[in-house]
Amino acid sequence: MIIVSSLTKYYGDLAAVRDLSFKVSPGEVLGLVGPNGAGKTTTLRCLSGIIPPTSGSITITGFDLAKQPREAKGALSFIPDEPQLFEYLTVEEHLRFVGRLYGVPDVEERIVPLLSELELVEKRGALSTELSRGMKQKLAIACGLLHRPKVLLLDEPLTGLDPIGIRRMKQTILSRAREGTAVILSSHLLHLVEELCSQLLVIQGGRLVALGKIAEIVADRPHLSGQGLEDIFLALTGSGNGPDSPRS
Amino acid sequence: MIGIFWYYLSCTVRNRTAHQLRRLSNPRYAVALLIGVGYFWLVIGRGLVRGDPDVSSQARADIGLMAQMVFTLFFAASIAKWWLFGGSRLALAFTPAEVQFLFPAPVARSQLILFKLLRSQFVALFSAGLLALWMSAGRGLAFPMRMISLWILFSTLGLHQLGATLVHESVTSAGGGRLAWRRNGLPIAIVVAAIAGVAWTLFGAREELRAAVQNQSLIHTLDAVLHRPIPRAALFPIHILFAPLRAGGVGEWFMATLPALALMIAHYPWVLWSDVAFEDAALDATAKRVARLAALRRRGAVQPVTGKKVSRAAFRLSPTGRPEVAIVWKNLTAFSRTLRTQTFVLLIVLLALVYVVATFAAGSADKARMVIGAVSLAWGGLLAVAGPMWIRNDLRQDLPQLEILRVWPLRGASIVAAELTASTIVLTVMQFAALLVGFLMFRGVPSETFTPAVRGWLAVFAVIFLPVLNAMAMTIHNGAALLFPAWVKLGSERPGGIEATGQGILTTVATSLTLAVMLIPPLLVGTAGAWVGSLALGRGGAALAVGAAAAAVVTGVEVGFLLRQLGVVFERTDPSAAGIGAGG
Repeated sequence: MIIVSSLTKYYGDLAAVRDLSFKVSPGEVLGLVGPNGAGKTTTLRCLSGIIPPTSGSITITGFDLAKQPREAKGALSFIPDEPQLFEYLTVEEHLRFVGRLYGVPDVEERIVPLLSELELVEKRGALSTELSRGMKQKLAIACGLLHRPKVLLLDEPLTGLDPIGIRRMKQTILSRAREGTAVILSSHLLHLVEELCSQLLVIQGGRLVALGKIAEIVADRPHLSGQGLEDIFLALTGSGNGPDSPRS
Repeated sequence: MIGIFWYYLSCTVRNRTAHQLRRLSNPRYAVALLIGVGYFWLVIGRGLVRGDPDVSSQARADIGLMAQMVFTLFFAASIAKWWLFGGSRLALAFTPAEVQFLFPAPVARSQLILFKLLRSQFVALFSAGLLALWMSAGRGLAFPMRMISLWILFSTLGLHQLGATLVHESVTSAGGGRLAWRRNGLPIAIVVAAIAGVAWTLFGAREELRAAVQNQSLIHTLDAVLHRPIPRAALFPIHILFAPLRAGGVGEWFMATLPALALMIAHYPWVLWSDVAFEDAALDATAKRVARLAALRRRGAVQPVTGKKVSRAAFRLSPTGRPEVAIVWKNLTAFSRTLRTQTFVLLIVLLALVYVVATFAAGSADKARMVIGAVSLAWGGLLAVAGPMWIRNDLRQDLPQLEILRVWPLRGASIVAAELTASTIVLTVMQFAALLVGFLMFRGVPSETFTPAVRGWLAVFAVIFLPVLNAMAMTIHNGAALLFPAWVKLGSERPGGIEATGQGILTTVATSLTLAVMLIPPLLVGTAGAWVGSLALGRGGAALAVGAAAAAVVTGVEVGFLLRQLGVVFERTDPSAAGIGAGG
């Protein structure tokens, strides 16, 4: 469970995120969308504890991220769009390393199934520098999934993956959600969001523009009825110059 | 094409400078700069190091002569290494953006090399200026003349390294065929002949050198031997480059500068010609060339050896226990995988060389042992100062991935402490090894001052104090990276090349000064502890050990305090605002 309340983040005088509130329950997949510079990455960074918010609160599985960061971080996993790996560790060693960080006693038993799921078994002994871009992304995902987080934060998770990898990744996200993980997925790939997400959060200029199931969002805006997600997105973010153009 | 390169480089320098100046709006950077400027003003502007009046002019001349000899031999050894084993690949390194924009563009490879030369001049000028400022604090040439002399020296050596690396790479690329070896064979033959000539002359002068050791006139005798016809011819180019720095007046400097300048200018067409010859020999398609150079660029940074079987991890990591251990394990494993057999072979060869030279010079194996012991002890001492700059498998390596580090379920102070533990362990082990060699070499050598008991207590002192001293030094270096990420090289990339001396000087001065200040309280408490110890246990090694223990405790407390503070900084640092890691 993720509960975000009045999240605000300023960089100097610039408000990257303003008064953002939402919650994601176990098993839900929330799609975080918005145009470039909308504040998606800043939001994910705040949620994962990388940067502290200027104001507001974030609760991860009941733990306040500001007051109980270790407990909150122990329950979440953040997978950035650019895989950040250690060049001197092999694939398998990355997983052992993460296992110890998060205290996973049965790490050895989890490694092989996870590597199989992400098609990395043959590369288990390779250094991260020897992997292709897509394989690096898979390894970063494997590291993120190893400790079976209750909250999964994904920033453009399909970047660099081949079609098979994309299909597998979609299955992985959905299976984790079915197991009760609360997932937030930030992506510009609207068809992916439409396919995977049970809820949609549209932000622009750091503000919430729309939140809810796609059907609910459309129900509140009858003129969007019958349109695809792309058109809905354009209308909501003002690119379509419709009546739903956000006001700053 | 030069116009485009100049546009890119001048814009880069201008914008980078403006960016650095904007950083001064951050009080942290502003205060650090003020302290730095104040230091240079006090030390150089006010002439606090304009020479110790107690040091005689003869002693000063001896020190100057020795420094010149050391640097001459160091540069000669470097040149020999570039030809025999290839130069640093940093000499061929381009930034990722340069590769992306310049390599696919219709730019000839010779023009790329020209660009590389042009870019290195900015760094060489900065280093020359800083070093000249430093040296001007002493006596001799005025600042501008020193700066020009040093710039010629750095530029020429940088050019030579680039040329040697290009030739060496062309041989590697051509698979070592006859054509390639013909191109590389002549310079290698010259280098081997020069080494043999110098070694033969030194061997012939062994009796003189041995006598000079007894008479304590080794520096002058060695200088005289190195100026005999064969070594003089072998070291002739280096002597030419050093001559402007040795000049006593403007006229002499001018006359010495002309040949040095000519040598530098002569390198330009040679480096470009090497490149053209390489192209002729390789006859490769553009795509292949780009791929090869991209690979060279990647290898510019320190990389683990790939394509071979990966060596084992530092130790077996248990899945449960303190999570900080995982970070130590990761960093120790990273260090072990950057070690190369070549390093060990070089070390053994150097030690053997020292032993042989010392045996000839001293005339007995016992004295040779003492020389090796002294070298080992000096190496251990040098490691205390330079080690924290060389061993960087800590936050300095990992800070570009700060985003990931911040997600780990650990307190900031714990992460910082765990990150620098591996570096501290590696440095301490290396120091202990050097001290152990020194200790063993001096075993059985009689001395009134260093009796076996005193030596034993000194060893106890080292065992107690060195680990915390190293932890302190590593904390300072990692703290500098965390506090001033814009001023510290992060990641696996190292500031490389002779021309990057300036940055090294600044880092050394800043961190050494901080360490010196931080060591004042331990020194005071340690002295007091030794005094109290002497009252209780009598004068001697036991009192020293008490002092060391007291100093170690205070240093440990300081390290703990610093780590706590750095932990807070770690938790508050915004990766994108600090310019670390991936933006977004």
